[in-house]
Amino acid sequence: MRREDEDGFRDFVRARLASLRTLAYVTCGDWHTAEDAVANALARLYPRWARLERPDLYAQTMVYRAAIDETRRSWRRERSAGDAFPDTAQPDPTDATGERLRVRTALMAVPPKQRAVLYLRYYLGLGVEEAAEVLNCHAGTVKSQTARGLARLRELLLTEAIDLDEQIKEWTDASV
Amino acid sequence: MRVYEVVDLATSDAPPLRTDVEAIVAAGRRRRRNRRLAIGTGVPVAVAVLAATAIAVPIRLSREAAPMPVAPAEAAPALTFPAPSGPFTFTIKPYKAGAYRVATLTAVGAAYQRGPVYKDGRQAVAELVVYRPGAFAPDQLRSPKKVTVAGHPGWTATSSLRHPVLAWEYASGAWATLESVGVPQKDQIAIAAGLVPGPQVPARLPFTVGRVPAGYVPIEATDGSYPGPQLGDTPAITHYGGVLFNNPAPAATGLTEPWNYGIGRTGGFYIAIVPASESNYQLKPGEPRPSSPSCASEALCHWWSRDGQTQIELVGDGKIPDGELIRILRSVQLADLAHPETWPLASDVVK
Repeated sequence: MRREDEDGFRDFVRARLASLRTLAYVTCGDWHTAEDAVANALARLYPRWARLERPDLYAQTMVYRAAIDETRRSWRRERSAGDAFPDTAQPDPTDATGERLRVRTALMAVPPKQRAVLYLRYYLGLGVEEAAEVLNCHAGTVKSQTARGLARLRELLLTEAIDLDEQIKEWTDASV
Repeated sequence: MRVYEVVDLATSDAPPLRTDVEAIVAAGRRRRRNRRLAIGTGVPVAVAVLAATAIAVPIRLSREAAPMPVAPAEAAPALTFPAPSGPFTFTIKPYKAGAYRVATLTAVGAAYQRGPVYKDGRQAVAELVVYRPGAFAPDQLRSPKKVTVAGHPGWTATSSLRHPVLAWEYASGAWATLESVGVPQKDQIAIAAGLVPGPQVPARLPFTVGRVPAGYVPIEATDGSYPGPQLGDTPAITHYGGVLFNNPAPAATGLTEPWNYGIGRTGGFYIAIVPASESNYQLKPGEPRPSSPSCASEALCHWWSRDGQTQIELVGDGKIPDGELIRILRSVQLADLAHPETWPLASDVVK
């Protein structure tokens, strides 16, 4: 690989590593698993780097698939639950930690694909077509999964007395 | 709270990264070097990659490196699998295989019939798909490895969802697949080996639809389940049913996976009848049933039964305008949901 291409890859990894790990974590719910998925995906990306037109979408696609795949591996379930998502919010002396756990519980109760869609669209700001490319599905699927994911998240947060102040992007975009 | 705030808060305790940029670059260089080595020497790529030195964060091994257990050498007694009498007719019996339960198949079309496999709870750990003769194309499987299932030829491969898939020839020229999540390989073989024919049972649907855009035809009906892959929690969210429409009808040959909605050059849509309590778009407490169907977002539209207990969901792929989806929804007539024996045949869904 040419030096300038490798420097470009380094810059890309440096800029995207944290957000890719968060995409993997939101998908699979475990930080260790998420980081493994990202590291493997980026290592596979390296040989293709110079040929990619949209390395950002390609990396997100590979990370998402790797994260989904890692959740299926039985040996992961034997790992210590230290960084794993807890099944229920644990009592904690500080209210801030309690709110974090309640919010995380709600987020992780949304199905994995819907979580990934919400992260891609509302956190990373991807459009419908881009998200469809990352998730390897049709645009209609992205839209329906967005609607379902928002509704589910809103419902879950309401049980914790938290209002989700988010509109479906297609509605807000149409009003502009 | 906005979604990005939810994510920020939920991930605010992220541990420090264990890897860094240089480790990833080094791993990428090794991967590229090993691929070149494999191409130059003829050594299988999977073996060459396994020889790579681990980076700080371990790279998982290829699942194909593990040996595939071989089924008992003796062949199972030959069974006769009758051809379905119609495009939406089931012909496979439910059965048990050790700790697993192959439930009554729930989805059927011109190329195959399929259904969920449970171990416990309502999560389907596998999906069984039984293809009609000539519909499945084993030569198009991705990275297949040869295997034997109770004396019958078979392959292991990976699905487009990156799940393990076991494919086997259950009758002459007729194949079945088992796509699974977390099911040990020996159990996959045991499930496959237990496949048995059953009586001809035509699928029934809890509704009819009076308006379908020109060129669209029903291609798959789900009887007692939600349309789409019969894997995970999805099959259990409705015990009613649905139907997938597409334009044009896809070829019933050359398949390596079932159809799912939106396939084909011109797209498709599905209608599902769902208990309102299982919907992600429920009416708020005290909210009256809307007087007409509406679309929550593009290509996602709903209506409710008169008592508000049942939801009719229509999902498109963005190619059919919402106005047309609304008109389709208006033409849906629900059957008596309490009496499935009175439901219309799936072959008569368009009235």
